[in-house]
Amino acid sequence: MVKSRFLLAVLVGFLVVIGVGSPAYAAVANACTPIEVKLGTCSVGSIENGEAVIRGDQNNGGGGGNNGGGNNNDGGSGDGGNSDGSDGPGGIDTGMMCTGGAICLPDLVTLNDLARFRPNAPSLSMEPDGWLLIGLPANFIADTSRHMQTGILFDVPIEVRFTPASYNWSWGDGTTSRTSVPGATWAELGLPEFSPTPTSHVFAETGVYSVTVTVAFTVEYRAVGRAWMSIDGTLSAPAVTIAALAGDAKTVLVDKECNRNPNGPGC
Amino acid sequence: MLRRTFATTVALFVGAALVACTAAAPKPTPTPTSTTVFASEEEALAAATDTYAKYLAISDAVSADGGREPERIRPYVTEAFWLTEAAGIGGLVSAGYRTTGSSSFDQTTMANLEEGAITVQLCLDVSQVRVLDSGGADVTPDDRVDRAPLEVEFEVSVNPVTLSIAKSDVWSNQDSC
Repeated sequence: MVKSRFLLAVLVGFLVVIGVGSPAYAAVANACTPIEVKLGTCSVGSIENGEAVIRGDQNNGGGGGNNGGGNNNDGGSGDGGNSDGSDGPGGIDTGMMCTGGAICLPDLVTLNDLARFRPNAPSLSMEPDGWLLIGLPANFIADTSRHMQTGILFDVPIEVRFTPASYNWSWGDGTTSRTSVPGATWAELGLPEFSPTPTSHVFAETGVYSVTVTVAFTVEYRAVGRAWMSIDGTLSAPAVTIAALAGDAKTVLVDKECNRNPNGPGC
Repeated sequence: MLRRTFATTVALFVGAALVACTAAAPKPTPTPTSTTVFASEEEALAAATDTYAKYLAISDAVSADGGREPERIRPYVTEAFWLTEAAGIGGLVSAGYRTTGSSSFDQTTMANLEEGAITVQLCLDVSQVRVLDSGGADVTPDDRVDRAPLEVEFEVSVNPVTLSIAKSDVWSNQDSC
């Protein structure tokens, strides 16, 4: 179990060694968060017979102590612990849990491991807004961007980063397509209305269509503060659907608009 | 935009002139602090105390939830200290523990004040916090130090003024608290 893990991060003791402030009042120094104090895994020294005694051997049954040379306060410099999490000179037994002072992740994280992390769904819009003309391109835009989630994997706080990679469109008329771009408005593209775009679609018949986009994201993860690691494959966000009324010029421009505005021109 | 910049510049200039006048007064009182963010050491200490109180409340909430949603702590700490924080949370989650009760702190004193950083010493009191295992049994270590002397360094950033916890070290023996 332990061998299958590799040490990704951090020996708190190391931080202590490089992070000790003014030596004037740092006779006994050890990084401690309130949570570590609560758990009793914090090494608080006491003065006995004129010598500093470091209590780093508490074990709360799994939390483990801090592994790192930084717990040495004998005047020498700590060695920062061993990067593989093993015991060594200056180290304190972690109980081989890879926690308490070190962050360990398995060396092979798969998409299955990250199943609890799901990229955010995009928002889907179209122009014209909610209707289209048969025979002319309607333009669809999936609004999404790279985003991050924080959570816990194998007891380790991690960050997962999703980057949109491809957009799978189901046009509702039996056809599908895949694009590498999310789409943009005609105005943003500098095109006149009803121009073809990478994410436009032409519908041949009148009716109401449900257009669905599913965005596939590439996935990276890291133990907090460490380098990003990528994972093979992609994760898809929940599909998003938009309904569009397809008509000819008369049914759409006159009939539909007359429903909205009975006093409009041509009604 | 230019007009606004100009107005700001004028305001700053007038402000600086006022300060200059004040400083030129017969008995100038030397400010006890080198930082320009806080008017006084008391103000800096108050800001640090306020930030730490909020941070501690969030820390209690996260540990009460067994370490779930640890990112709640993140706004209160620097990127570097988040590593230390994450390690502690990892220990909690790994053991399947959660806590009940509230932490508190007292005897907060200013240890160092400089540009961009405030360091205070305080006593963190966790005597009212119990550690429970997943079955609800009290597994608080008998030999836990209930009052920990901590030296906490805050990184100060401006616009808006924000204090982030950058260090939290045991700085003395437990008898200090």
